[in-house]
Amino acid sequence: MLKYALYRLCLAVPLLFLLSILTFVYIQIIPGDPVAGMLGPGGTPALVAQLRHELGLDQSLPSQYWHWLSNLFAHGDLGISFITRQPITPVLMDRIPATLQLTVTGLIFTVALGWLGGFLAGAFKDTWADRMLSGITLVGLSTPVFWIGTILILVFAVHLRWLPAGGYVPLAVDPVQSIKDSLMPGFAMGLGLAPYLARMTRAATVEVQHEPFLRHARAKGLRGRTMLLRYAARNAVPSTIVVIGLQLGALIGGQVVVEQLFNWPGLSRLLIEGAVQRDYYMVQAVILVIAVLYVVLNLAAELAHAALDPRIRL
Amino acid sequence: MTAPAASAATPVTAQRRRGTLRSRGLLNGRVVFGGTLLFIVVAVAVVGLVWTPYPADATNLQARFAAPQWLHLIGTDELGRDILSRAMVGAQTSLIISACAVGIAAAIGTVIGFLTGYMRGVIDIVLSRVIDAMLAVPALVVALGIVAMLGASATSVTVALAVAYTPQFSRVFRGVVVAARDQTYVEASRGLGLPAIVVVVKDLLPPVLPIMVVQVTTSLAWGILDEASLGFLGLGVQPPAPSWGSLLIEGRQYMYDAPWLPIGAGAFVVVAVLGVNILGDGLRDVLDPRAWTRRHSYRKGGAK
Amino acid sequence: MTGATTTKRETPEALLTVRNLSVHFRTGDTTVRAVDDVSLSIGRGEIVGLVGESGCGKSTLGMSLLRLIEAPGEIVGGEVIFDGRDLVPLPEKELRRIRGRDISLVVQNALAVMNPVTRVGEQLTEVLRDHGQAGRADRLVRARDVLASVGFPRPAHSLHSYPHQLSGGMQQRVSIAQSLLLGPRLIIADEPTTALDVTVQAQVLQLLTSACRTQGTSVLLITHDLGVVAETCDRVMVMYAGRVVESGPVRQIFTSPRHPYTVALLAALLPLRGAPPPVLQALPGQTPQPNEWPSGCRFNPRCPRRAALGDPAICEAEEPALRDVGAHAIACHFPGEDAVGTGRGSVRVDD
Repeated sequence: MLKYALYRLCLAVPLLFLLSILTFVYIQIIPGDPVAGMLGPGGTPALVAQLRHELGLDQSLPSQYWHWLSNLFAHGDLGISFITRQPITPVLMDRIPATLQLTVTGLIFTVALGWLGGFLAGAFKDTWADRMLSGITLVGLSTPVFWIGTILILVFAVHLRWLPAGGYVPLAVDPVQSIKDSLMPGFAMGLGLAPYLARMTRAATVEVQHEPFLRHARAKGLRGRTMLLRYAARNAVPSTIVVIGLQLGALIGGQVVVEQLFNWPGLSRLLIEGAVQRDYYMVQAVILVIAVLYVVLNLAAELAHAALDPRIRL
Repeated sequence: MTAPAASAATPVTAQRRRGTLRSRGLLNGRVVFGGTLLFIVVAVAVVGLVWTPYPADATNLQARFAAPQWLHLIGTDELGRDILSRAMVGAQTSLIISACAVGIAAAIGTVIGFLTGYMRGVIDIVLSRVIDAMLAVPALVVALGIVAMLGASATSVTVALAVAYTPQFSRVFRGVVVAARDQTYVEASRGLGLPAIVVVVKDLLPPVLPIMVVQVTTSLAWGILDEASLGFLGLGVQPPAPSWGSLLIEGRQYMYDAPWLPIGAGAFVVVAVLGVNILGDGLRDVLDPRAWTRRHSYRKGGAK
Repeated sequence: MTGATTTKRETPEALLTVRNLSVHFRTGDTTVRAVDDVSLSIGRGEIVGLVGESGCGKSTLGMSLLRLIEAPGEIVGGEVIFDGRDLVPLPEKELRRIRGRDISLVVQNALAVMNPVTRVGEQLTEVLRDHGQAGRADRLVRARDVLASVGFPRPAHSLHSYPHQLSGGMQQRVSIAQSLLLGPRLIIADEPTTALDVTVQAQVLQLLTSACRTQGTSVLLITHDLGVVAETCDRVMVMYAGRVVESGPVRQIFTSPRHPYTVALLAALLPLRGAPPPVLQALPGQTPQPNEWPSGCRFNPRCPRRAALGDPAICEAEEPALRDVGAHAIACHFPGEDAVGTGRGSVRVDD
């Protein structure tokens, strides 16, 4: 298991390296001179040249990359914002707790709804329960997160007044309020992503039921519950964990919308703000962090899969 | 005759696939239902070209924030503009953006997929790693980054979504091509010394086509969703030009006063995406791609 | 059909009696009669071989005894009387208690039928638990003892192995251990050794039969390997195209086969002694498709005897019933004509 973990880790390193190059290149291919654009009409050539020098943009590309990367590793420095001229890293770090809280809440809803729905639909394939669940899943797949979120707000915040329509209190400051705050955005994210997981889980469950070992389990006279949990679920679930890992991209994508809708001060909000203000360094930094998060979480999913399926560990 | 093609352990040849297609019928219920929904949405967009209940930009300050009623089926916005009319016109923008983005992504992705999967070698190694890295960034985030770079407009949304979807297409096609390439019938063609282009068109394209159809529908659904999401985030087509995305950002501002605004515009998105998804599901059932690649992965037991 | 030939088949203590069992697979407008009007019985402690080419319905017959036919397959008629109870109309709940406890199953591919993600120990103990054996520690001891009895050198250690970590022979041993766990009265063994190396085959088979002999367990051994049948079985049934065409004591069948199909099957074997024949006899034609069995006697298009007799019309017109002829039961319109047109039977010995 340890060997497998190290192996997967080694595979992730070149990927991360490549990601750093890609995000670096991203800044370089912006059409026009971002510095001039940033300074606006007041940017005299002298001023532009000075700022370019300040930002190190007058050096050669490899040396710029080296500079950027070594700063990143040595000081965790992601550069300075185009707009505020402040270092980006502390701003980013500030947002991470909120993002993690939302991710975890969303993941809990996703997994609870997706596994349960998908497994029930698959285990009782072609019954009314399956048809109903599959129908809901299909509608869920087609429903944008902002739409579900808007309806949730209108129902639970405006109409019923059960939950706040948005906002965020750090977990450490007021745990109860913080969890209340995160319920609706997390649920919206879960509703957005659970259909995918439900589908995969249903497919995996259906596939497992065609396996010879399940038929043989009947021949052994095992109880229905044993077959359902130890045979069908234990075999269907591990492969879906990898799916969860791969769907994390969509989870993070959905988070962009959810954070905006629920006024949630996470990383994605930073990305949107950066994109709207054309704060390229900010966008670059957030994309890099999101990509690294994705790679790390994916690695975790792969390892979880290996832990649950002994055949992977070879 | 008992199990569908899913149990076939090896990819079927083009001819057998066609046989399956005919016998199972391309027109299953879901294809028809999904196709109908999509057709209705497209028809609404086309009708919007020549006729809308009201001119899309006509303001009517007497009828601001009118709730859904007979005269305004899904109400009006803050300037008294008829949402239905705007959504009909917006449908054109949204559908064209998504279709173009997916078309571009499919074209580029297919080429890359074939290049990497068929040629292998250095091209494959380099491009595949780059694709892997790009896939590590969520499509919507990639699109956001590109829109930030190009500025928010219909064109940049199209480009952004096209770039964001290309890696998926190339990875899917690479997988299919790699699997097909090692099939005996392809090896035979190569053994005959046929030029690569002939092998690709004659042997590799047929098994890829059904997968292409399914992937295109999946991406189209995403395209519509992501265009709307970008609009919702304020980085899509900018108001006052109507698109489902731009309607949504207007709707968001007034969601407490006029909930029909976001809900109405969003409902168009839901119906369109639902149609595409149902259609895609139906097509997937008929064409049944990829089932064999998954099925084979567990078959290496540790016997000896 | 169950005529008075051998004492065993008629004794009232027959453990399993199958009467006129038919299993059909319906897809669309085609009906595959995989098992058609088959009757048989298995005595207590008896080891019965069921042989035939692949596709003749022998595995389907075996699975239908446990009512484990999957859709679109269906038992459309007949009785499966096990220990005085008909299993065909039995509720699934009661049937579950019989499966694994009174009748257990061993199949060809042991790895494929084991849960890949749980350990051997868990797979053995869960069977005990689900059949109501209390006490986790007791179950573990029982599992370990059974593993030891099927030749695991370190049974306690092997309880912690995953199926894929064992060799093919060991996997099949686990499978046999699991079938013996609850001391069943009948084991249905469907090609239990086919997937194994030849050297391991004999060991595993020996293991199964000796365990059954000592415990008085009956076995239905489904195989296409006549050698295996000759070595281990008391009685043998030959299936062709969904029907039993000949049955009788092993020695009788091997020394004086009566049905032309059995004759041909034996003729395709290498002789045990003497020089191999210059050409092995192969049966002309192919196994018929199960959705279109030939009319009349299903063997008639390939039957050398029919050809030798000048194609009598009855072969195509009427389906022969299984009738007793001497010590055998045989389904042929011309049971006495075994000397005619049978070709060179390599194992043939005169009556």
